[in-house]
Amino acid sequence: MTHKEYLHLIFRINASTQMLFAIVEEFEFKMYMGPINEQRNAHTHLLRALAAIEGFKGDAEEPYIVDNLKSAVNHEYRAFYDVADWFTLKMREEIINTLKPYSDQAIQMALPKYFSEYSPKIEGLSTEIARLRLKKDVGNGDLSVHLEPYEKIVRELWEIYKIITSRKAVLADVAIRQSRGAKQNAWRLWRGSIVIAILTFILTQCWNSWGSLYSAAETVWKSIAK
Amino acid sequence: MRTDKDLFAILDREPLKVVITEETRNETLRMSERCRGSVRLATGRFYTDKEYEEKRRLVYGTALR
Repeated sequence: MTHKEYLHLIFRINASTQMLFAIVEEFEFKMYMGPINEQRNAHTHLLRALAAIEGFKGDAEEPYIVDNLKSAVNHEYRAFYDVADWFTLKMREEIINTLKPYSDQAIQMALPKYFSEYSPKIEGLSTEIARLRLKKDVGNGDLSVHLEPYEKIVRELWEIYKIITSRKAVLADVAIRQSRGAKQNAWRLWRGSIVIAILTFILTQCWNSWGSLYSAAETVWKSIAK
Repeated sequence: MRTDKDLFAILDREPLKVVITEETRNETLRMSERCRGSVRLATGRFYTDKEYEEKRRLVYGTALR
């Protein structure tokens, strides 16, 4: 690879990292310093290489430049992985927190595809990120651009998150309706219980009256028989 | 005055590995009045390495609905 190609690769990875960073910062009020640290290291290696290319460092040779450019690319990749990891983590957390107050039935009604499609997909995407990360180990010397699968995953997760948040109003509506239905059911139950209690009371009274009538009739019958 | 050679010697040193702990946060909060920069950092709104790992464990440990 030429110096220009290395620089283009660094630019390409850095742009993707910055884009993801900008999105995740909107959701997260706390900063994660991992990617910034990696970018700082990439910056150091890049400066070394540029200083050597521009002739500021007199004794620098080609392997020195290439080594530093490669290291800069690796650090940029790590920064990207860290931000992608942070992004997926945050999206997952947001989805969990959004759906937490609602019952499974409410989710099923408001988001019919959630249990069949979205939930398995989110799980699958998390696993896929881990797999890709293992596959694209920065130490294996392969410096070609492998950002597309990550970017695809990130985009899919982002789309799912947007769908779920766009159905928040429907979820709340379904939850309110369910709550009303539950209240009505409870009132029906109470009403039924009260009716049964009254009927039981009346029957008991009747039974008691019937018992006293029976004993009176028995007394009369005995007196007649005597 | 430092020569270019001295400066490159500094540049060629391996960067220090940054470990972010609770102590880092306290120190940042203590020194933030003297520096300009990110409001999040100046107000201590950043994850320590331990906090981030705990968050990861918690979020991935929570089953999706």
